[in-house]
Amino acid sequence: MSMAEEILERVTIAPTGSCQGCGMSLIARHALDTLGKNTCVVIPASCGGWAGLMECARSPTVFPSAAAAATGAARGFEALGKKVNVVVIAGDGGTYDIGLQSLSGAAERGENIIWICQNNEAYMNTGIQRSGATPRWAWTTTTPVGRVTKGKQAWNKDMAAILEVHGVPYVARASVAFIPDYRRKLKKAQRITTEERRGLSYIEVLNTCPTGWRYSPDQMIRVARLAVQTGLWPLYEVEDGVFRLTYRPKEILPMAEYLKIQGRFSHLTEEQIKTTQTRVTDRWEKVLERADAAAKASG
Amino acid sequence: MGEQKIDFITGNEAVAYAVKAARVQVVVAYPITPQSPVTEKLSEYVANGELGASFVEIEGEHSCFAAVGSASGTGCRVFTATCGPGLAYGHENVQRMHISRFPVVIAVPNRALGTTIFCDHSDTMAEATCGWIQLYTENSQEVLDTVIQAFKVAEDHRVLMPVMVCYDGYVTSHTGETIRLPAQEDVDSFLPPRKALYTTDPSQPLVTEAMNIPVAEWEHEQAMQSAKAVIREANEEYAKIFGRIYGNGLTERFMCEGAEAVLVTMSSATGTAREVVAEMRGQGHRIGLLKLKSFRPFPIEDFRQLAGEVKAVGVLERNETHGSGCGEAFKEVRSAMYDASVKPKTINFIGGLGGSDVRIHDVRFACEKTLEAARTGRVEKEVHWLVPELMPAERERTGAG
Repeated sequence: MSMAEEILERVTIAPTGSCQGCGMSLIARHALDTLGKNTCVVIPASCGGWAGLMECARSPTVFPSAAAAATGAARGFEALGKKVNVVVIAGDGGTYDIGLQSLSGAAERGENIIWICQNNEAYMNTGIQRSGATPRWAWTTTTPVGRVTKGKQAWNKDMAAILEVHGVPYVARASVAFIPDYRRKLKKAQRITTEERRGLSYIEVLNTCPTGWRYSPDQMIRVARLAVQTGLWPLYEVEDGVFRLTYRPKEILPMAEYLKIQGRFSHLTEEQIKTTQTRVTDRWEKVLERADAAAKASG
Repeated sequence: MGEQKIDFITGNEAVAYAVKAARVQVVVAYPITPQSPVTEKLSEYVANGELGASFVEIEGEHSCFAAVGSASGTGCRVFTATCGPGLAYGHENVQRMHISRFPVVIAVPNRALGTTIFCDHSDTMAEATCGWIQLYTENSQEVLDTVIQAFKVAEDHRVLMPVMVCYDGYVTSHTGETIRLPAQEDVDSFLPPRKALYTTDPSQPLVTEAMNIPVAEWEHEQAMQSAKAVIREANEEYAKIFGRIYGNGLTERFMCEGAEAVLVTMSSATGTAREVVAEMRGQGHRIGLLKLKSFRPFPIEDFRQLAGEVKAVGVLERNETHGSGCGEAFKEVRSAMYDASVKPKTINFIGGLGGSDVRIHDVRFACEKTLEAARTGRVEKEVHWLVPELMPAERERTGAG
C-alpha cells in the first residue's frame, strides 16, 4: 500500500461524493491525518460535506455559524479540561460571505479554533454561483457572460489579510499542489491553537475546481501549481505578525498561462488579461517586499 | 433543607441567580433589551469567580444558538438568554437544535416582535414549532425555580432537548419582587452535574445532525411527550426540597372547584387574573383560573379533563397569529377539547400586545364573557381584542362588561 493509500484508508470513506478532480478530499484527508484523531470537525454547507470523512467527531452547524459552532465546541471541551483540535473546514462562501460575521467574532475573541478555508472561488456545492472569493471577470452561473456584462464585475476579497488584521496568531495560505507545505502549516496551527491555546489559526487552501473553473479534471494539480507559480497565490504564513514566504517560485510565469486553460476565463479580452496581470504583479511585488523585510529583520 | 435567603430582586436577577446555582459550565450571551441585565449579572459572577463558567461574549444571537448547541454537544451544562428580535435572528439555529438532541436552557424575557421593546408573546410563539420545550412563568420566584428545574428536564435522558423558560419582559424581568433564594447545597442535591448520554468527544466519534431523517422527528415527538412526566416529576421533587409547587408542572389550577367557567392565562397576566377571579368568586360568580405553563409539550390531557368539568373556557393571551384570526394558545386549547364527549364553549381574548397592559378590567371582562357563555351555552363573539381603541367607551370608563 502506498502512503497515499494508507492515508486514504485511515481517514476517509472512498469513494467520496466529491467531483472528479476535486481537491476537497486532499484537503480534508491531510488535515485529519496531520491533526490526528483527537479532532472534532465542524463543516458548514460546502463541498466539504462531500469529502467522505470517517473516524472523526463532528459538531453540527448551519451555514453562517461555523465559527460560532466551533466556539461552543472549543469552550465546552475547555470547560471539561479536554484538549481537542476543533477544526472548521469551510468553503469560501462560509468564510468570505455568510460565515464572515461569526468568523470575525471568533477571531476577535481569540477562540482556539483551526479554520481551514478550502477556497474554490465560488459556491461550487450548489452549482457555481459567485462568491466574495470569485475573481474579477470569472464566469459563474450568477455572473454569466451576457451581452451587457461578462463575468463578475468586482475583484475578490483578500480574506487572509482580513484575518491577519484581526491579530490572530497564525494565518497561512496553502495549495493542493503543495501538500507537504500544507501539512507543515497544519502542524503549526495545531501547536499554536490546540497546544498553546493562543487563539485562532487560519489556513486558506486554494482548491482548484474542474467543475466550476471549466477545465479537465486531470489538470487539477497543474492548475493549482500555476496559481502559485504565477504569483497569484503566494504560499506564505504570518506567525505572530511575522511574515514568511514558505515557497518562492524560481521563475514567475505569466497570468495568461493560468487564465487561458480555464473555461471560466475564456471570454477575457487581452486588455482584461493585462489588467489582471498588473494586479497580480503588484501584489506579488508587495509579498516579496514583505518577505525580504521580514528576513532582514530576523537577521 | 438549607436556609432560603429572602431578597428583593428582579426577574432578570432571579434568572442569573438560578444559572449560578445550577453551576452552568458554558454561558453564551449577547445583550438585548430587556434581557441585558441577565447577561451583565452573569458576566459579573464569572468575573468575580462566583460562577466558574466559560463565558462567551458572542457577536450576535445567530451565532449564540450555534455556540450553545455545540457546547452542549461536548457534555457541558449550557445556558443562554435572549428575546424578541434576538430570538428571531437566532431562528435558523433554534429550529435545528432539536435534531441533535443536545440539552440547553434559554431564558426569554418575552419581547414583542416588531418595533417595540416591550412584552407580548409573539417572539416565543413564533418558535413554538421548533421542537423546544416552552415553559411560561408568572413571576420572579417562578422563573428562578423553573430555570433550575429546566436543566433537570432538558438533561434527563428521556428528554434531551432545549428548554425555553419564558417570563414577561419588563413586567417580570425588571420588577423587583421579594423572593426566596434556594440554598446552594439544596440546588446541588436537586441538580447534580450533567451526565451526557453521548457527546461530540473524538474518543467516541459521532456524527450529529447529518440529516433530519423523518424517524428522528418522530423520536423527538416521543421524547416531547415523555417530557410531560419529567416536568411533573421535577416540579414535585423541587417542591419536596424547596417547599414551592407550581400546579402539576404543566398547568396550575386556581379556584377551579365548582367552577362553571374557567379562564386560561399565561405568564404574568395570571397574577392579575388571580386577583380578579378571587374577587369574583367572593361575589358568587363560579369562575376559575387555569395557568398554562407548559405550552410545549402542550398538556392536552389537562384540557381534556377540564372539558368534562366546565361549560366554558376563555383563553386570554398576549399573541395573535395574523390571518388565523386568533391566538396560538386558543387554537391549542380548543383543539385539545375537540374530541371530548362534552365540549365546553370557547372564547379567545387577545390582550397585552406590544407591551400594553393586561388590566384588571380586561380580565374581568374576559371572565364575564366566559361566564356568560357558560350560562347561555352560546358564544356571540369568538375573539375579543382587549385593545382600548376597540372597546366601547362605557366599558373603558367604568371597567364594566
